[in-house]
Amino acid sequence: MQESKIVAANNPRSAGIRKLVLVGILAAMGIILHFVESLLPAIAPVPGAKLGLANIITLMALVVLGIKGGGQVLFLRIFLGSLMAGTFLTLPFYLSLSGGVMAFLGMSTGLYLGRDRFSLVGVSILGALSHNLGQLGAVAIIIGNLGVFYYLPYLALLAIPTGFVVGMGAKYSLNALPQTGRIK
Amino acid sequence: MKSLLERWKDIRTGDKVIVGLVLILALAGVLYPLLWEWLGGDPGDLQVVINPVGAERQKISLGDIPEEGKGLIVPGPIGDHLVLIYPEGVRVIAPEDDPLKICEKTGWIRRPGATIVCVPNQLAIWLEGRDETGLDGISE
Repeated sequence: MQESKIVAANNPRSAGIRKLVLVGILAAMGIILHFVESLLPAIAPVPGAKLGLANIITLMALVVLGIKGGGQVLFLRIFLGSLMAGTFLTLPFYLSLSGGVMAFLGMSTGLYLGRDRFSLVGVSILGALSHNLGQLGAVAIIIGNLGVFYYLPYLALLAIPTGFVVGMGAKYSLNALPQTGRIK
Repeated sequence: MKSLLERWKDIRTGDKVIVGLVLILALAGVLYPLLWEWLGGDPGDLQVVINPVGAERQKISLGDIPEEGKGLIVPGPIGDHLVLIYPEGVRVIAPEDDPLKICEKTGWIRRPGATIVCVPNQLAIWLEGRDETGLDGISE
């Protein structure tokens, strides 16, 4: 995986503060991307399929901040996002939590246990697949019926192009980060 | 800006393995229901199972449905679903209060295993082989 480090200007304490700020900024960007995506029309022929733009942020956070920081960004995004959308502790919240946590686990596995076997595109395809599994699993529990897994092959096929777009988005965003002079 | 083809050069072995596995498994899963139809599967031999969470399952054989179809109202926590059953398939109309109406957008189901799920209204509807015939395409 790509190594990255937060640059602390002169004071070692400021590195921690910069990290905290970065977690906040990434969580905010994730919430915005999630809202932007909800405005896009669903073009996929499979019910419930979507692009997963917010996963760009989760992936970037995992690379820049590691598992702990990435997890902070993920939970902040899901909790604050659902509070802002008014869906906290309702169905969309549980679906985005189950999908988000599973995608996070899938991508962490690809990044940290995959030992450079996956590019960011591969990692984000793993994320999309585990997101599908998490969400279908949550729906199966709520409905008490495994029938929804009928859609898994269709969703898995769509995970390839959406994973590609998300992986590329994360890659180009990460490539641009050193230009800020804050992260290298 | 590199071309799309050049970007694929950054792709590693693990990526190819995962894409290959997904393609093989997912295509098999997608093609199987299509094959069922090519092999002479007939929706008339199927039954639709309507399963609201915590309520009695209803099974209706598609072969018994008249040409002009049959509508069925299934109540749930957020309203009434209208289930439209025709000899060649099933679809639903979601209640007004369904925020995403994913079940309605699912459209027609026509093959065994195909499922319509409405999460907010806690309803699952799917097609399966008829219990009572005991026959399938091969034994005929």
